[in-house]
Amino acid sequence: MPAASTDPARGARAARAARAARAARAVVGVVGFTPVVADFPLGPRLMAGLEARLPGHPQVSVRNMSWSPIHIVQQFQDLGADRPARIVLVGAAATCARAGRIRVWRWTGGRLPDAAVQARVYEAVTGVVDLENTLMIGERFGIWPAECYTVEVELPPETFGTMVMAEAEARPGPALRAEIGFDPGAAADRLASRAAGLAIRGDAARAVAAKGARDLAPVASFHRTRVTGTKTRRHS
Amino acid sequence: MCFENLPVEFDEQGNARLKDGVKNPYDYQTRTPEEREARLKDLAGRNGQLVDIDYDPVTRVAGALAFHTTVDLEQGVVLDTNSMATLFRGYEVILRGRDPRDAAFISSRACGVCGGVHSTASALSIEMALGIRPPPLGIVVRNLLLSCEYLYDNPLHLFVLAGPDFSESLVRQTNPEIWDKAEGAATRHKDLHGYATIGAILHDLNPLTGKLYLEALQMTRVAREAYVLLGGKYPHPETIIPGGVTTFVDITVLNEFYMKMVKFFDYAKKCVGLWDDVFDFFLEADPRYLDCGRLDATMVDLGQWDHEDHYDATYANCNDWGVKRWSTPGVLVGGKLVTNRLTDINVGLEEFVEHSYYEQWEDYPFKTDPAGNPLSPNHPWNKTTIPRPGSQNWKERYSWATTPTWDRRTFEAGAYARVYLSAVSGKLPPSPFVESTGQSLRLRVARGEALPERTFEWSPPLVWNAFERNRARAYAVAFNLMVTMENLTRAMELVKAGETRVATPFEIPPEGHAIGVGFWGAGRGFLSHHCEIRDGLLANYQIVTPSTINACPRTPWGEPGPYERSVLNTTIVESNFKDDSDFQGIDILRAIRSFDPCMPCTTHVMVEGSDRVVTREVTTCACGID
Repeated sequence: MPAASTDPARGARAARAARAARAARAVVGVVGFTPVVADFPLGPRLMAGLEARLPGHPQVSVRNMSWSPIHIVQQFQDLGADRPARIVLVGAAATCARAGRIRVWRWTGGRLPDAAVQARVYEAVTGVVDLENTLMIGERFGIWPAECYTVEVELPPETFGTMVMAEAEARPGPALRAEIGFDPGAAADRLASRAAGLAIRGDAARAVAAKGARDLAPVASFHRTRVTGTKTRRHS
Repeated sequence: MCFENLPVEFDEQGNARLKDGVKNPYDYQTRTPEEREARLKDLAGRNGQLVDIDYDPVTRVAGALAFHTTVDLEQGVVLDTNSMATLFRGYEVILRGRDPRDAAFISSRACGVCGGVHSTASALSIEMALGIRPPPLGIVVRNLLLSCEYLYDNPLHLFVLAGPDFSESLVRQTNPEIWDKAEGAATRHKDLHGYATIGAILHDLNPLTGKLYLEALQMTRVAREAYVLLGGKYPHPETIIPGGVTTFVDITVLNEFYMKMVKFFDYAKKCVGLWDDVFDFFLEADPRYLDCGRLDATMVDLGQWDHEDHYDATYANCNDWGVKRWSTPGVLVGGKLVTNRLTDINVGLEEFVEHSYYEQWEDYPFKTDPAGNPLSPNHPWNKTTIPRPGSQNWKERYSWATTPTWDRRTFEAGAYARVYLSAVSGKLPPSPFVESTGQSLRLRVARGEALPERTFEWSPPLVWNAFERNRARAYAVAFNLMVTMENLTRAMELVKAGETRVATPFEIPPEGHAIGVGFWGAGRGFLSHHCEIRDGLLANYQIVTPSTINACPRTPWGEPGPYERSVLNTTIVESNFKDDSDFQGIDILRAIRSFDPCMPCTTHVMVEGSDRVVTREVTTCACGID
């Protein structure tokens, strides 16, 4: 038992959870979970919604996968033959065209140049948790099962910060919804519904659109700096 | 006499005081780089080969570091640089008004990479303010946890972050003539790593596929596992508190920990042999590499790994317990050791915001430190963090990093500073594992699964540059490991002697006023947390991180920061390009990466306007996850 664990019950619960996760046929992995704001689309309401939809489906487990993609790779490598046959990754979309929109994709994999993957590893090993980084790095190290889906919510760039401040200032819900352009609680519910459905039933009808390595948004600079001079080029 | 620029002198007892007759002792002249810009415009008008390039991001997290460079491709020289931290961290603002017991947990989130060092620096700071002395076992366990972080961080940098810059795939692309030499170049340390040629090493440094790259990912995992054995979780352990740790330690746990460390015995030897070979090769293949990231070896380190017999958490005794640490605090100026005293380091420390997105503060509450030494109004204990977002302007404000200086000089921080200062100070406590000769650092690395015991010796190089930073970082892996063994031995002796206490209980006094500072280190060097506690709450909290130090913008008087200066000194050796369209800028990136940039340390959250918190949604940091 780890030295730091002073609660035997906690250790036993963790062991049971680990066994259940290994035995699971399907995993819903939430990438970018934060416990800070209850209604944040990737927050506690999502987790509660998933748990509520999964009783009676012991083959499905829910995992917080908000860790470095390299750590995720190592966790899945450890599972060996116990890896799930189906995985549904839930997270924020790389781009936001319509606030609060939820889209579902079937991951078809593929390869990117090593330099492009390494750019994602740079982020992965230094604390960045990102759905597409997780997808691509997991793909590169071969951890995903044949059935891999993503359920993505489009969030305007300042959603989390705006929600934190709204809670701190006790701003009413309608004002927050007007500010961010969507209902975050409803988005969490829809995410839970779509993810749970895919985890339980899969997509036998192939109704879900495909998404592969080439469809990912390139690792982009967060900040644009001024470029001047006679000849210019941006290196990213 | 360690100060040359600040008007500070010492009495016969070694107490610092302001020199008499200096009217405004902490005044300084500000200078904008307008002359430089005019010169660049003139050059640009006459020289079509002038190119402005933005390296954005320069690896390490979410593009929080952007680096602007002006290069003359025809001459192969760098003409101008600006380093920018593009996000606001804000932990100083978040912590104001909170219970001091929250500080370790909240400030820990300042970095998703160094997930425990901020906890410890914070704990040290609170311990000093409130007079809490941890028990010996608590101190030693804290040391072991720090070592795990370093054993995680330094190999990660060497093989996964910086390593690809020296890999076959990159060198073939940027400098085919160097690759041609590498293929036939024999190694000198085959006995340590098994590679007969440099080319074979560079091949295995290839990102994603190289054996050395993949091995490093596994070794960082071993270090994390060792951390979790003692710390419960990583990053952001909840077992580090003011007064010690909350973890339970017995011989079984320590044995498990030892079994993790054993895996590093041969790996540490391999790191030294590999990087000695690689860097010797590059420097011999083209002597212009000597200029890559060249600086004059001005660096500061606060020392780490407290000695349980000496650390008492007091400021009054910090010079005594500081030099008893398992890495020695100190200041190097131009490669010359000028002090080992923590009070000197603290007194000389200032932060400037003329080129940063912050308001200048007005308060000057602490004219002296608790020992009576003079403090600048720009000292962290006097600083107030007042964000002032604005547009980017190279002449005025262009970074969310502040400009820390020591004795009015910008300086370097890094794992290499730990090695360098410990080597030249000659003050490490006696140990069978590590020894400082005053000119070098000797490391006796124990027998591993395949390799016999070996003693390595690191000595300061004649020229301090990007290659030497990384070389010293490779030696730092062995240094960390052997300090770990020293402390593991001590932990076992304490446990065998029946010691079980790992923390000292304490109460937060509801009234009163106190200040403290945590002198500590991160994987990439210098880390300080300055706190002020008033009536039971944090009245002020200031964090100085290594990446703030290295990535800082210019000083008010126009001196560029370490990244900026090191790149200005870099010669463009890259050869395989026709013009700017296929210029990679690998020499510049090598220079910057040699500092091991860790921008989440410098930056994390942006405050826009006055009170808005903003994060990048798709890169939610694992920091916040338990």
